[in-house]
Amino acid sequence: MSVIVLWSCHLFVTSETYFSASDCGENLLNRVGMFAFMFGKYRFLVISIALFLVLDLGVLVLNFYTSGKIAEQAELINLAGRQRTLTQQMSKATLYIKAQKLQMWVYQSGLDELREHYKTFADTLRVFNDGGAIESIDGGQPIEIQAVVAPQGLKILEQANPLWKQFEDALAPLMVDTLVTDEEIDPASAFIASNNAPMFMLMDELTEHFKASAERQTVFLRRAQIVGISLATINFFIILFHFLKQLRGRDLKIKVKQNESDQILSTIGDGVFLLDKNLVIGGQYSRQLETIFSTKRVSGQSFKRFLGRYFANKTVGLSMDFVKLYFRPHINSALIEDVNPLKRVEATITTEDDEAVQKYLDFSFAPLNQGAGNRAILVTVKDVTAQILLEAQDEQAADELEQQMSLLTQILPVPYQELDYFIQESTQGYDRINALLKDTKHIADNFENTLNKIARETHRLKGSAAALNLKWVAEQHHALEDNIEALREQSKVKKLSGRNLLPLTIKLKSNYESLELISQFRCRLGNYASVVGTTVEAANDHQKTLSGHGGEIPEIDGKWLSLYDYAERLATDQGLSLDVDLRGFEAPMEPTLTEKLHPIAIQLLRNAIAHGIEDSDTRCRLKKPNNGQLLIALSHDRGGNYRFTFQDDGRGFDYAAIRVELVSKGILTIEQAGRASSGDLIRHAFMDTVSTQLNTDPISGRGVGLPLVWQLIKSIGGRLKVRSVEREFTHFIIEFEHQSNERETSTRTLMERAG
Amino acid sequence: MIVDDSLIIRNKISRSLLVKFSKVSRAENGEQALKMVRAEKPDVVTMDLTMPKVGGVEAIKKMMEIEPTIHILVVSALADKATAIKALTYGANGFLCKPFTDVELNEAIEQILKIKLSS
Repeated sequence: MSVIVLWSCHLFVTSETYFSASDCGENLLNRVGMFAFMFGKYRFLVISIALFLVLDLGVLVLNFYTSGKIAEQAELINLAGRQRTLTQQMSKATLYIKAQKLQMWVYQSGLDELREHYKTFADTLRVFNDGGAIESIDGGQPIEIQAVVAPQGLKILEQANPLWKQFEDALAPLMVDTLVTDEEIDPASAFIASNNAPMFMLMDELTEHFKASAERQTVFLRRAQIVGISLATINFFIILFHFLKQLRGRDLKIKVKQNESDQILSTIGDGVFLLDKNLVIGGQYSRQLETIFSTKRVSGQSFKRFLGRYFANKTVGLSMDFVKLYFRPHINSALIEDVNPLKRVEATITTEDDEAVQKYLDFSFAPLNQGAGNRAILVTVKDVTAQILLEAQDEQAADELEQQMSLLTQILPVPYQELDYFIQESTQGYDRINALLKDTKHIADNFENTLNKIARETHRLKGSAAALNLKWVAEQHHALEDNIEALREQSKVKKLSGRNLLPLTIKLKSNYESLELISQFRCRLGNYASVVGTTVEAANDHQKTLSGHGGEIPEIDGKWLSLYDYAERLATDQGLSLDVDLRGFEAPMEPTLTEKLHPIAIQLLRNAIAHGIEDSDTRCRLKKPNNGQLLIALSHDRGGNYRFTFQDDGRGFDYAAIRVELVSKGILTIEQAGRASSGDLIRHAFMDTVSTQLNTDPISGRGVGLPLVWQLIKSIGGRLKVRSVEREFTHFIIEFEHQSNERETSTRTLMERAG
Repeated sequence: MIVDDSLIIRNKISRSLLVKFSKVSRAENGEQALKMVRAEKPDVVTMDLTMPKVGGVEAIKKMMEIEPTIHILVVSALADKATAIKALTYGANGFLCKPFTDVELNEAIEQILKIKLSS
């Protein structure tokens, strides 16, 4: 019984524990809700448990009641048994009195005993008939006895009562006086002797009747207990099986839902997971998350540690600060997405093959209310690598298209002959730079010298590109110069090797590609021109008209003619006005002669515009003509001695600035710079990379223009004379020998290549 | 209250907010804004982050000490997310990125005012 009760308690506790998982609060409303919950969905279970308890209690009460009845029956059995004994003892006492009296002996003790037995018998019989209290047989507390009501018992009493009446009558004389006469004792003893046995038999029957009654009640109690316990046990198993059935059903439903969740999570194309308030990743997440991050270590991980595997510490710290904002009540989460540091962020992910892969990921966060003030964040991770790369490709393609269109519009006005010459000159220049970059032995021996050579070549090519207004190419050369300058600065701090020139090689490759593009355009334009009958001469005529010098300009060679436009462009860019006078360049010029002198003229022109010619206000103050005056002239004698003159009426060499630059670069000490003559200073300006400009621009400022001029002069075996007066003028005179050399125009080779 | 060092932005926000609010005050920097907050106790503040004297983050921090129930919308260019997050951590309720339209501004202000703040 106790075991069953214990089971039931255990079940109840189990149920309570089970329910308590959904107990959302402690207030009364929630309690009421809880009861409604119990009597709703779990009504059967609650009723079964109540029935179980009722059955248990019923058996217990019945047991208690019947036990009391059995105890009473036991007392009756004892009392009835005593009546049997009393019958015999009364007979024995009567005979004893008679015998004592005959012997004239004392009989008082026998009389006392008889009277006591008589009284006890009479009281007991009365209680059997009428019920009432009587002293228990063991002499203890009085017990309450119910009157006999059973038919069998009443029948026995109906026989016993008259017989006892006769006993009373027979023994009455012995009960009132202590002196017993023979007339009193003789009939009494005779009556008892003859009626003792019937009374004994009746009391014995009564005892047996009580025994049988007690036995019946015991049987009843046993049966009732068996039935009660059986019912309770059956009920218990019903509860148990029902509970197990419910649990199994619930487990099945949970499993089905789990499967559904797994299926949904496995088909979601993005990484999805939940973050709790401690910023720990939840147990369920989409399979795509494992794919994105190439890991199965997700569930239960700290978000900070998780991010730390893929992002820099700074990004992780910032991201954690950002995510915490979603848990702050003062924040409107719809208004913080713009500051999300995990928007399109680059991650380094190590794959299962230990390969580091760069991915672009897009995290988005959505707060979820889980009730009772609990919040979680639904995190969605998208792999946007393909999208970003596609955008980058689109952007690059658009840039390239724009550049090509820009290049095309820049190429269109250039006369074909000049364009061909430019392509050839650039190809040779790139080849020379490429050779320098490949000459690893020389680079190792003299890194700075190699850099200077590359810088000069690049600067020369930039000048040529700028002269033809091929801005895109000029900018590419300018970017290359930036790289060279950066390397030069680095080389001052640490020793560099050929490997450090890799960026230049990459840039050079890009320049080669640009040149190839120009060649292709040139080829197509040539084809187009041949179809529509457009000629190079027509283009040149058109250019002359555009330049505004058509009527006044003598028949100057096409390449030299472009100097007018170049000078005008540069001057306009610098906010200057110029008059350019070209003498001795009448067409046709020998290409080899042009090849030698044109780059020199370009560099000196750039130099003059960048450093020499003043603005209008200054020139007005100095009483100079409003427009800067440039003279570029070529003359020669019959012996092949040529004289190339370049004159400007600008500010002349700024000797003070040159001194400062030479000292700051450590080329001269302060004393040496102070002692240096103007000739020495000019010589340094041509020998070293000296720039008196603070900033670089596509025209000047790198200090390589004049050294390049000197290299070019040396390459043609020329001599240089310079005359310069500050604030007045600068004259460059280059003398060299040149024998007329009829060579084919370089165009042919290039056209073959482009074709 | 509009706190921004740009006159153009102050005018733009002012024009937009005057449709909804009866009074719109302006401050050129954080220092001026703090003085005005004490005196005017505005319902909502639009706050730039990069300003001379007292910057936006500092101003928000001090403003929350003076008036904890004030609603603050950070209106700034998205140059420095770390500074913006710091501003939100100190008590700003939302962020609106420059440039913005009048509709975006009004929606953001409405969202901000939905938040119930306790002192």
